[in-house]
Amino acid sequence: MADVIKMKNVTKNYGKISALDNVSLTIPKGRIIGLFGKNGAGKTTLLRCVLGFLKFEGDITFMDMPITRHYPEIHEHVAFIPDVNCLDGRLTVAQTIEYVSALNSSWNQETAKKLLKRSNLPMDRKVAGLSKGMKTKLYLLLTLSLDVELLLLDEPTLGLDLVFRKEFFNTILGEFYDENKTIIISTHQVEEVEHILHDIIFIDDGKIILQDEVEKLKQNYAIYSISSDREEEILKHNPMIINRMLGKIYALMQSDIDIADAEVIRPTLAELFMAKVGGYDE
Amino acid sequence: MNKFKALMKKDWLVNKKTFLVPIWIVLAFYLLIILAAIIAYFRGDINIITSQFVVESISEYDLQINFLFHSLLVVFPGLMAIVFTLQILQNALNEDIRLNCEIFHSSQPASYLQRAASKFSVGIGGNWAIFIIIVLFNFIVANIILATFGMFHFASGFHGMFVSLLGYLKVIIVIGSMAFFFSAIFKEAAFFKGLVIILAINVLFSVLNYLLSWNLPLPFSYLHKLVFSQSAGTTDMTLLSGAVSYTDLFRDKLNRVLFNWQTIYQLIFSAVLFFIATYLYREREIL
Repeated sequence: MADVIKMKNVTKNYGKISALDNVSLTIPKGRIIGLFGKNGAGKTTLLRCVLGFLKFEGDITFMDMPITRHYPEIHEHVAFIPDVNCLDGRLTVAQTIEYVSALNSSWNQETAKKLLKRSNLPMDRKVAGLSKGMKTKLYLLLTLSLDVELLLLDEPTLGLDLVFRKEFFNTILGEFYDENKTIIISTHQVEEVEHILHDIIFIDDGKIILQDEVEKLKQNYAIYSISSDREEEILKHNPMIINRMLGKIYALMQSDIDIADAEVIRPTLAELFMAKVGGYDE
Repeated sequence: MNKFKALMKKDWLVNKKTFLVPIWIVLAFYLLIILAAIIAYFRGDINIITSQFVVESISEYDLQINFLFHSLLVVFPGLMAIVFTLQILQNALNEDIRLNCEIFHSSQPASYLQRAASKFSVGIGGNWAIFIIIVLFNFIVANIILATFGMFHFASGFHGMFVSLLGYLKVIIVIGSMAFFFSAIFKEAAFFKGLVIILAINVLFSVLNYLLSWNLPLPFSYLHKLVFSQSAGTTDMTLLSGAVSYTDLFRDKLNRVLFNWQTIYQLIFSAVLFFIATYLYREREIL
């Protein structure tokens, strides 16, 4: 499988603060990848380095093209959705669509028409006057009408309500993805994208602490549930996370551990994330 | 080319309101004059009998006056055009950042040169267009009034307006390119900050020249020479001695305003500033 992105020893510092610390990773083609990390972990910096928006040390190649600065021509192959509020509020919906379609040779008019029909966007209204939900629809229309190989989503649903967040990811999956396309989703809402991901990357303090396939990861870990009076049995296996609830103990551990009469549950990505990155572990 | 057209259209649309402000100012100005005239008419303050002012024949001297009158007609719209060019171009490379949409525009496959050229050419061209529209409107209004008094002479008036207009168009390019250049360096109040730095260098050089008897060139005097000295704003009054015709005046002014080395220097100066600004813009990080 060809690699879309290769990063080797990439470091990005903001003054004395290290936003990316010697990051090396490869992103294969045709995968949907979740990029998870706490606030300030380096998710946005990583994506912006890939696009060349930021200066960095190390090597990045995008589809075998070395990225040493921002090359606008890479946007013929990659679409980027940051926070939807970054659209130009001075243009109307129609002007925005016309502008993006004229600049992008990968624009697919048929897809645009189809999405436009479904969206009920007010064409003559200024983007600044749209609700956040409408802006999301517009951004989706603009992005999904581009026939590109890579889609980068940087906290795209920040501030959106649950309905729009669900609609956003379902539309992305339904309209954009096929096995030749790659999607990287950076988000806090782990549980909402979990079902669509193939791979995950956990980043913390500018370092990649885990990159793996979701299925493999879920097979390697399990949540063991037993009654509270058997806590000692759990503790001797050094669980990654322990929760105590309604007289029971829930512990996240390696899945190859054998504890008699324990109920074994598949962990969610959110639980694995908390276990790896930390947050409420005891 | 389609990309450049799309960028230019976008840059026109996002700046349209600012571009049109001079037109509203001029219309408001005319409205005030009309209102004042109507009030004065009904109060009996003016009692114009146009026939008293009708000129039987126009002398060569009248043509020269007509030429200069039309030159002056351009001054107010010209100054407005300079102010609005500064306003638009000193924000040209920063407005998208301020409005949080820089990343949206940067995520489009258009080169930095195309994007900068679009912003620059729309900033200059848009103000030129509005300026020319206002000047032509003023020209028509002024000549309707002059015709009422039998003093209408198209050629001398048009030549006066045309030469002055060219002078201001050139000033707009030079000052606009300076504002554009400073917008690549400073995020806010770019032109003002740029001027302060030039002033500081000017003062430093003046002090050094005075204390050490050096002969360092002063940036302000160079800029003044580059921008103003040969523009249509200055008129050699000796030409009004009566010994020359208005056509001589026109040729002289046209040579002084357009067909000279200064025009070439101005264009080179503007082009250099534009390319440096584009380079600096390209090297910026997009946060």
